[in-house]
Amino acid sequence: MKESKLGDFEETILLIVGILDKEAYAFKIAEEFEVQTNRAVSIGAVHSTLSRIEEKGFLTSAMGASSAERGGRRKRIYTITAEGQRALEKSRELKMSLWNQFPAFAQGKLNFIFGG
Amino acid sequence: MAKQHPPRFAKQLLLLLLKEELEEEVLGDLDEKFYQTVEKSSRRAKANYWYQIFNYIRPFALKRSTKSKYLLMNIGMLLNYWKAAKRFFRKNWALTTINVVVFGIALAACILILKKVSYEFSYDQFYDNHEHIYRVGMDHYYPHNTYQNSTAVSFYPIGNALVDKYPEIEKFTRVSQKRNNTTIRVGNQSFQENNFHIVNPSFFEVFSVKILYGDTIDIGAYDIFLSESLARKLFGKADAVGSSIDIWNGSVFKVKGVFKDVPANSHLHYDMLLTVLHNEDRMDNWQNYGVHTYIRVSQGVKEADMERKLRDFNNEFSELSDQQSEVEYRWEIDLQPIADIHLTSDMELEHEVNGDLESMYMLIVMAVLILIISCFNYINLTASMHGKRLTEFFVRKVHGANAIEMLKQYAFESFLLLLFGIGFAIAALLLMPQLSDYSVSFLNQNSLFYKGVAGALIAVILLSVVLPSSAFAFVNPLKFTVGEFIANPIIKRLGKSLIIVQFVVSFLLLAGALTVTKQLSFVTNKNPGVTISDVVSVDIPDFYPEKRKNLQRFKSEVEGLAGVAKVSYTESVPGTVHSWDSSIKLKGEAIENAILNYLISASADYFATYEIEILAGRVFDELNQADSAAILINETTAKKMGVTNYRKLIGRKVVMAMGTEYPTFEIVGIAKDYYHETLKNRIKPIAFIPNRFFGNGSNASIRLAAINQKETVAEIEKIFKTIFPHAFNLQYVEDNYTGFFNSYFEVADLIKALAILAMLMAGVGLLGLASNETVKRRKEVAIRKVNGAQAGDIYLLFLRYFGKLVGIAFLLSIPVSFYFADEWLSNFAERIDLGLWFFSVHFSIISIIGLIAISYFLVKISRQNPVVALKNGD
Repeated sequence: MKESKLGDFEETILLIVGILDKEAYAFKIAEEFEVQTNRAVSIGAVHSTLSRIEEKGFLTSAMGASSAERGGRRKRIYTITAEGQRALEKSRELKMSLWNQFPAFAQGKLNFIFGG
Repeated sequence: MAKQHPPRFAKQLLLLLLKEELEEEVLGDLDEKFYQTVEKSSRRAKANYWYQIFNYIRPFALKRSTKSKYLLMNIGMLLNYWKAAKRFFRKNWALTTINVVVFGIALAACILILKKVSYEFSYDQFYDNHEHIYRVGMDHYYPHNTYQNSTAVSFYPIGNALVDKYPEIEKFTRVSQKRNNTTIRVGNQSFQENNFHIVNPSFFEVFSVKILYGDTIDIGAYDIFLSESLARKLFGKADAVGSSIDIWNGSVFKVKGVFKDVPANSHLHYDMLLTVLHNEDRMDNWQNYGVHTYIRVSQGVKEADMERKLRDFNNEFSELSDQQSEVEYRWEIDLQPIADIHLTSDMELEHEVNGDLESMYMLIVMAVLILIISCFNYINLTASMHGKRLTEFFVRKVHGANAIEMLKQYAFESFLLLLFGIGFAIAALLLMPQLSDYSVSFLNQNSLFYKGVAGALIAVILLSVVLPSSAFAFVNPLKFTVGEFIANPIIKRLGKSLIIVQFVVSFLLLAGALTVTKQLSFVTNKNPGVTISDVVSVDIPDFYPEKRKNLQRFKSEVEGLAGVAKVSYTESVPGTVHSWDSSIKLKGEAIENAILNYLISASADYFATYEIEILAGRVFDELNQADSAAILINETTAKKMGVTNYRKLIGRKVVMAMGTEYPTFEIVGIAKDYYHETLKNRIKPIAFIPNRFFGNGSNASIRLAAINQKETVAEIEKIFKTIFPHAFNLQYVEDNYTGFFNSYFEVADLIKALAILAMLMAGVGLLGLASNETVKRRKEVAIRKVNGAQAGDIYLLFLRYFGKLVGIAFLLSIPVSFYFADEWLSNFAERIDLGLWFFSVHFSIISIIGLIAISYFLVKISRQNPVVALKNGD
C-alpha cells in the first residue's frame, strides 16, 4: 500500500518547497530550513526526505538550470503537486481544529504565562 | 590564496556509492554548499563536505549493484563468524586473553619507543631550510698529520673566508659557547642565566627565529634578544622591547626583540642572545678556535659536493694556521648538517651532551623484534584455534563454504583479535600517564611518528592476518583429522622455529638488559678516584665587584661553620666534561712532543676538598705571588711526557698554549689520576693552574661533614645571600656523576621493559606450544603410563623436548649477544667483564619462565586418566 501520511519533518520541508517556489532544490531547501527553524540539517537528509515525499506523490521534480558555482551541473527543482497541496491543507485544518479546542488558548490564559 | 576545491577523495568515495542518476544534482548541491562555506573557512568547508557525504549514505541514494545484493547475506555470515569466534574465545579465554594483553603491551611499547625515537630524530628540523644550514666542525692534525681531536668550534675568521671564497655559501654567523652563570639585573632583582650566547646579527638570517615583539632590522652592536619565557621571568611580561638589562654588573643593554622559545629538540638552546659586530682585530688569528660557526648554503647544494670543494680551502688556510703555531699543524673542516648534530656529533666543546644514534638504532631493532614475536604468537594462536576446530570447518565445507569463505573467516577472527590487541594498547597508553612519567599523545607528533605507527600497524596486519589466512586457504581441512592437522609437519616446524626465534630474541634482550644495568651501576658506584660524597658545588656569579675579596670572605665564613670541612673554587667541578683545552710540553723538548692537555683552574684547597692525593711535590700556594706560574699535573700528563719517576718532574719548566701566548710554568706537584669526566671517558692529561691568577672561580666546592647536612646547607645559603645577592644553586657533586648517565639510564629502562616483554611473549608462545604438544601426545602418554611410566618420566619426556628448543635458542643467541655487549662496553673507559654471570643469569631466568609456562600442561597431562585418553581418542 502506498504510504500517504505526512510526517512533521516532511510537512516542514514541503512548506519550504512552496516558499522557495522556483528555487526549491535540495541545497537551498536545507539552507532555508536552517534559517527558518534554527536547526542544522544535512543536504543528504533533506534529499532523502524529498525523494520520499515524491514517492508519496506530493512532489514532482524536474532538472532545472545550472550555474557556475555548481560546476555547471543542473539542479533538481521540486514542485508541490495538487495532492501535496491538499495534504498540507488537511494537515493545517486538523491542527486548527485542535487549537480551537484547546481551552487555555480560547480563553486567552496563555497571556499570563508570557506576561509573568 | 589558491582556489579551494572540495576534498577529492571524499568526492570519489561518494561517486563510488551514489546512484548514477543522482550524481549531477547531488554534486552540484554539495559544490554550492562548499563554495559558500569556503569563504569563511576552508577547513570548515572541507570538514562540512565530509559531513555531507556521510549523510548521503542513505538507502535511497546508494547504488544497487549486484554486489550489494549479497550485502545482507555477507553481514549474516559475518555475524555467524562472530558467534563462532565468540564461542571459541570463551572456551579458550585464558590463552586468548593472555595473547591479546601481551600483544597490546607489545604494541604500546613499540609506540612508546617510536615516540622517543621520532623525537630524537626531529632535532633542529623546526628551522626553515635546516637542510641547508651546517655547522663548521673541525678535525685537528698535529704534529705530523697525527689526528688529535675534533672540535665543534672553529677559527674566528673562517666564516668570512668561506663566504668570500664560495658564492654558494650565502651567509654565516658565529655563536659563542654557552656562558654559564651569567648575572643579569633588572631593577633591583638579580638573576643567573645559563642559556646565554653571544652571536653576530646574521644569526637571524641563518636561523629562522620567530620574533614575537620587536624586529631584526638594523641590529647593532650589543642588542639583546630574549626568549618569551625569559622576558616573562625578568619583566613579568612578554613584550619587553626597549627595556634595559644589566649584565655582568654594570653593562647595560637594550632589549631589541623577543623571540618564541626555542623548542627543546634543538642542539642549541638559547634564552638570551647578545649581538656583537664583526671584530677586525681577530681576523688574522688562525690559531685559536673558540666560536661555533654556522653557514647557510644555496638551495640544492649537496653536502658531499661542498666538502669536496672545501679540500682546497683546508689546504690553503691550514697553511696560515701552520705558520702561526709552533707545531706542524693541519686541519680539515667537517661540515655538520644541523639536524644531524644531535644524534651524530660527539666532538669537543659541543653546546651540550648530544644523543646517541647507536642507541636509537638499537631501540628500533628491538621494537621491530618485539612486534615480530608478538605477531608470531598471534599466528600460533590462530593456527591452533583452527586446528582445534576442524569439525566446525568440516561442517561449513559440507554446507558449501569455499576456500574464499574459509579465508574470510580466518581473516575475520585474526582481525578481531588484532582489534582487541590494538584497543588494549591504546588503553594502556591512555593509562600510562597515571602509572608513570611517560605519556604519549597521538596529537601533535611529528610525521615520522605517524608514519611509524601506520607502518607498524600495516606490518602487524600483514604478518598476523593476511599472511597466515592466505596460507590457510591452501590447506584443505578435509584431508586432516584434528590430530593430523596439528601434527602437520609444516605447522609443527613453523611452531617450533617460531618458538626458537622468540627465545633467541628474549635471550638477546635479557643479556642486553643485564649488561647495561650492571655496567651502569658499575660506573655510577665505582669510586672515580676522588671522594665526591658529601661534596656540594655552589654556583658563583660570573662577574662581581670586588669578587676576589668576596670569595675570600665567603670561604672563611663558610669554613667557619661547624658542618663544613673545606671550601675551594674551580671553573669546572668533577663529573663534568672538560671545557678548556691546551697543549703542554716540557721546556726544551721538541715542539712535536707537545701533548694535548686540559686545564682546570682551581684554588689550592681543591685537592683537599676532593681528597686528591699528591704523589710528589706540593700544592701551589695561592697567596704567594711567586707561585703565580706554579702548576700541578696529573699522572696521565706525566706518563705522556715519558716520565715515571714523578719526583724528577718537580721543578721542571713547561710551556703551555694560552690564547695566542706560550707562557712558561713550573711543575710543583703531581696529582693522582682521577676520573674528572665520569667513568665513561678515559682519564685525560690535565694541568691544574692557580685559580687566583687564571680564570674565574665560577664554582665553590664545599666538603660537608657527614651529619646534619640539611642544616649546614641552609646556613651556607644564608651566608651566600648576604655576600652575593643572587640565586642560590647548590648541588651534590655525586649527582654529576650519575646525572651524566641519565640518557643511558633512560635507554636502559626501555631495554629492561622490552626484555621483560620479550620473555613474557616467549612464555606465552611456549604456553601455546605446550598446549598443542600435550594435546597431540595424549595417547602416547597414556600408552607410556599403561606400560608403567611414572609422573616423573612424563615430566622428563616433555622437559627434554622443550629444553632442547630453549637450549638451541640459547646457543644461537650467545655469539650475537656477546659481540654486541662487548662492543657496547668498549665505549666505556671503565667496564665490567663479561664473565660467567653473563651466560648463567639470563639462562636461569628464562629457564624458570619456560618452566612456569609449561608446568600447567605438564601436570595436566601426567595426571590424565590413560583409560579415558585411549578410549575417547580424538
